[in-house]
Amino acid sequence: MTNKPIWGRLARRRTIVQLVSALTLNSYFTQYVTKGIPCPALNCYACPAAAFACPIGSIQHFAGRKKFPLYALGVIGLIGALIGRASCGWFCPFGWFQELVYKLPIPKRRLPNRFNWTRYIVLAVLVVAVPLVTREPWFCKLCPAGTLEASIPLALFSADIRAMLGALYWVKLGILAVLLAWMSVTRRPFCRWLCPLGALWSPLNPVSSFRLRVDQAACIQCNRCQEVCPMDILVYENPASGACIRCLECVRVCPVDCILVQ
Amino acid sequence: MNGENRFFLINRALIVLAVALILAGLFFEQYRIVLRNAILL
Repeated sequence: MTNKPIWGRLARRRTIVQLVSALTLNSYFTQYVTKGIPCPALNCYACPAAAFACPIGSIQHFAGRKKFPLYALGVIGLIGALIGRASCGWFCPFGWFQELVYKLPIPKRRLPNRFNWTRYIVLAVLVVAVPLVTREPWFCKLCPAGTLEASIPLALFSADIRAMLGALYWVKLGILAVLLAWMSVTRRPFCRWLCPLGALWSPLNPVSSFRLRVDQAACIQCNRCQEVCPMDILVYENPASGACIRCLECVRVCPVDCILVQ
Repeated sequence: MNGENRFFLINRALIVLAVALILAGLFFEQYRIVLRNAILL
């Protein structure tokens, strides 16, 4: 059921997995077939190199057409039931980007997880309600991952697109700039407070096939798990937390090997 | 029923439900709708 050396070694290679995932999700060549498949991460499909569909973009598209997104929700549900939010920790290019920005050598701030329900508001309002009413994918229009992966590259490389840029582009850039400042001082703020895909996966986290368990008898409550956790979770109190992205950093650093992978 | 069995059953029920949703979506040609929308962006 558990093997610390294997999972600890795997956690050390997570950056490589994130790099390979970012390249695969944006590998361009297969897009005329695979772009109909929602990918297991928030990856903008307006990016010319995107090889898969964005699951949140797909949901908004169906909401705008007043149709139930059976297929997109099925893919998201299957991923969530199998690995929970592990996709956020291992495959999401924007999650990886936030981790890289956090490595900047500037003073850091820890923020409590008290208000992390805000991502459910983003999901309900910007991904479902507003597209239902306006028939426009408003989360996509403001998404910082989309700004980074699609809007900025398209504006840089196409004079036609540059000529069409309006106020919305500068609003998007402003949102990305605020998030850039936030992610340089706090770990993964977008994942913790804003990501609607994480909000969909969070309720599946406690019942997913791949999850963590803590041997409470062995735990010495040293808090090393929380110190390294990108989501700032006190793992021994809630190993099945809806916020956990299964990055396995806690498994790697636990001095008594009491965090088990199931 | 103990906690582990309950988790197991909920997990398998979710997997079956998700696969059923995917198949239903494919039946209603939602793969094609997603693909067309993604290509046109």
